[in-house]
Amino acid sequence: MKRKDAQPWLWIGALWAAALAITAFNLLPSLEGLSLGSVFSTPSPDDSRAVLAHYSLLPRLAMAAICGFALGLSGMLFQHVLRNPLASPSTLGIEAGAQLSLGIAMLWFPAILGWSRDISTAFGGFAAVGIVFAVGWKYRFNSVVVILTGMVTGLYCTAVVTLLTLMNDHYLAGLFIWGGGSLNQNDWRQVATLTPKIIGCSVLALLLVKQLSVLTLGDAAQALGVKIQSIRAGALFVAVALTAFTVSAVGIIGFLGLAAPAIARAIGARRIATRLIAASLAGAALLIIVDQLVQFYGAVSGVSLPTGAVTAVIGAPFLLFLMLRRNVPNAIAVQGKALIVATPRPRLLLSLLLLLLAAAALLAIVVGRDINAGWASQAGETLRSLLPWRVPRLVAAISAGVLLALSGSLLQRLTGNALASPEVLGVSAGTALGLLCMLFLVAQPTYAHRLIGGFSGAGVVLVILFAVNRRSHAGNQFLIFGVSLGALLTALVSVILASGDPRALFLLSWMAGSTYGVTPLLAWTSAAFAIAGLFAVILLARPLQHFALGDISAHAHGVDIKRFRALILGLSALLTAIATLVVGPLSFVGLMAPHLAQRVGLPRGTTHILGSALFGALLMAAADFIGRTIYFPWQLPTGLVATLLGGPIFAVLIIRGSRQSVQH
Amino acid sequence: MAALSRRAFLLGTMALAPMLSIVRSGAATLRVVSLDYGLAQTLIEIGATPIGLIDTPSWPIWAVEPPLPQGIANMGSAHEINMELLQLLKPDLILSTPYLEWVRPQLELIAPVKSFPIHATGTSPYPNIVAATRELGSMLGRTAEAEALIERTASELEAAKAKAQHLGKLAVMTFMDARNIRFYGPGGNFQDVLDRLGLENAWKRPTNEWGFSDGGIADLIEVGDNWLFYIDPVPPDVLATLPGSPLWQSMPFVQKDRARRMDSVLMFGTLPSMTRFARLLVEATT
Repeated sequence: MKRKDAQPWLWIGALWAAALAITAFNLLPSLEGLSLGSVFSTPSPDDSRAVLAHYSLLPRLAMAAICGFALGLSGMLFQHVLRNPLASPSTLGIEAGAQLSLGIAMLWFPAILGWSRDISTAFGGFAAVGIVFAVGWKYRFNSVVVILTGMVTGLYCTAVVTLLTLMNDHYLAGLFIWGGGSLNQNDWRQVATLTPKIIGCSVLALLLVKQLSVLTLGDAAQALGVKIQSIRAGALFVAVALTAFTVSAVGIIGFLGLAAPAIARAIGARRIATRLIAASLAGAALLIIVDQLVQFYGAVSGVSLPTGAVTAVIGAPFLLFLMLRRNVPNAIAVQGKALIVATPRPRLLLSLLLLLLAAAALLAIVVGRDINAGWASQAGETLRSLLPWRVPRLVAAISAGVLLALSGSLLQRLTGNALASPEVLGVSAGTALGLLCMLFLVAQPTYAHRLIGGFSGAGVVLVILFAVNRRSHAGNQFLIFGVSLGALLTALVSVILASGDPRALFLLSWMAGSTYGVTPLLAWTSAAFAIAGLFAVILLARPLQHFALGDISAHAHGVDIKRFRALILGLSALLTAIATLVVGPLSFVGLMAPHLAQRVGLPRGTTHILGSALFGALLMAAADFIGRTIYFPWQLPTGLVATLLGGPIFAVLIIRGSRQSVQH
Repeated sequence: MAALSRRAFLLGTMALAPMLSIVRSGAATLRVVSLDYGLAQTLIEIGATPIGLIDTPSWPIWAVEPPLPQGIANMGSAHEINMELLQLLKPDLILSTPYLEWVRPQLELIAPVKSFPIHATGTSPYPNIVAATRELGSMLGRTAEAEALIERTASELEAAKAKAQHLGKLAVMTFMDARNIRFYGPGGNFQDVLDRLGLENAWKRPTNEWGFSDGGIADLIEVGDNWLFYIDPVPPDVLATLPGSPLWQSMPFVQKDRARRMDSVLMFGTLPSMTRFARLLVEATT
């Protein structure tokens, strides 16, 4: 027993030895010949090497250790309290929320930044976690629901940051470096202000340890009632505070708070106190290692990468690895549809939706702004000259809305999880990654290049999805796989943006869901796919209905479960890939449209599919019109406008609507 | 390199052949829209003011010179040009950069498109800028004005050279935020000016194809006691924290009072940016 307890510390020791060795390798050449005194006391300004060591290299090293420590501790607290090995500051959306808040402050409330940068970022962090917990509360903090909500919140915040950056690309360059988690230091001031906060939180965390160990008893502890809830809340508050402080000091250090606790568990730390300390120490060592390597790479290549984005690029695949290795408890799916009353007149409702769509489309075609930015409804020759600009983007937007809604509808039924959607599935992200590769392989990519890149990316994700499908029966794993691909994409883009590569700006505008480059050919191709997809999905509606009742029931109806699941996945991946090439990976229409259809009283069957498609189309048509005219002459990306329109509605629906359905 | 740019020039001319006939017939009233700040600078200088330009409100923040004449339509962001407005303006010619090549088919539906490769071509931008100026002059019937601009720039740079010799070695950078900075060097507009003024760049690390490289405040130590120029706009939190930063204060160039804030200059600009940059260098230190 004793030897088993000692084992984690041996591993932690080894990890730290590695960290120190890499640090020594990287820093010793810069420190050579300097006396200890000259480095640790205020150096004379003439001694440039001592100045560099004292004000930059050493505080940066200290900063890496402190932030790593804080994130490791924070991640472990989250994982323990939520009893969820996938919880972390990154997977709960806290970091992205903080980044969004900083961007808003930078643009509209610069005074806050001059006063305290921490306040604005901490505000965003707590707001994001508030949203995640508002949803999580309704589902008794079910692991998968919490992680999915967190990651979707994170991606949503990133989408909004993207919009802000597109509108102000020069001003917010700093935000992207910050978002990438730069550990650069100019002096000891940041270390000095951050350290007491982290120590305070750590002491609180250790005080909670005793009570926390009760939690490991699992359900038996629930008998303790109220007390348990307040301990949980306290521990979560400490964990959020740790993250918010760290994030406001150095930015997003993606997925470190996920990796460190996983290491603590993997090296055999069993008791909660051991785990907390091991995770903190592992986090500190990990961040030191990554940061020193980043510095070394920067010195050799001249390209300084943001450390936090590098950890995210490493960390997102790590999330996949964790998910595949451990069977994450995911028994309860979010069943948002159980108690929804179907409307007695679905046809009337559908006709109404169709009428609305027609009205929106007409508006989008006829109404615009004139040269002097005044509102005008164009006709005759002027309208004819404008049609080539208005029609393709409208057709493309509507088709993408239909495709995403169909795909979302399929996935939500297949997995029985209300949070499933093509964005969450990762096919959108896969398409984006394929496009990204193409941008760097071909100097000036044509549309055909981008099409090939996007489709191959989607294809790779599809193959991986099938592989995972074969390995496990739990539909929910697909979702986390997809969301972590989305996170990987975001991390890669922020590395590219931080490197100042102008190609990234094209990428950014496509990611925001811009329909600006849509050609008539692409628009009508998408429309053809949307119509074909609609028929295909309607044909699948009946077997899918059986499937939604659970595997066993489906089996009884003679559905070959595995093949059927593969078929549905393949179809929704294809639909998503086509739509993503048009409106980018972050539109979330596939997530929202099926929900909206349910809420208005079209909960199942063919009417639900038609309703979802109509809602998807309506959302996109409205977004197209608004994006084109509201901030004239600037053009807002359609996908992002759709997200901004639908996101709040969706959040309210899912928080309000889930109350009944959790009692099953 | 020369062969490459000549080939690019020839290809460009070939593509322009059908357009040139239009151009010659109505050179005096050609309606041009520029999708690039740098090309718009040249247009204004040679007296062929564009009727439309991207992101006009930010001109005073980034380009400043020459002042933007009244009545130029705002075409929206360079990432998402307002095609509808472009259509309504009915231009005769659209000036673009290679980075907008992917929307060229759409742009060509509205008017002939001419794209000028200036930056990130593997050479220093100056020869490309001169070539583009000449080409714009001949396309728009302003050959004499274009030549005058080239000569004016050369003589102004020559004049600045005499006044700038006290600078010797210097570094040019912008603050991304309080901890991260961007240095300018070979491959960029500013390095061209330094070369013409006979000045040495104190930033020795390699730069990317656009002529800049990123670093932290600590990297400033490499500037030594040479002059340092940081270009506007400077983020608000930088100005708040810089004076209190011991690292900044201990920099040799700060101690010798050789750090200067410099008004905005377009880093991806054309000849007017180069003279502006040279003039500001001299003005900031005399």
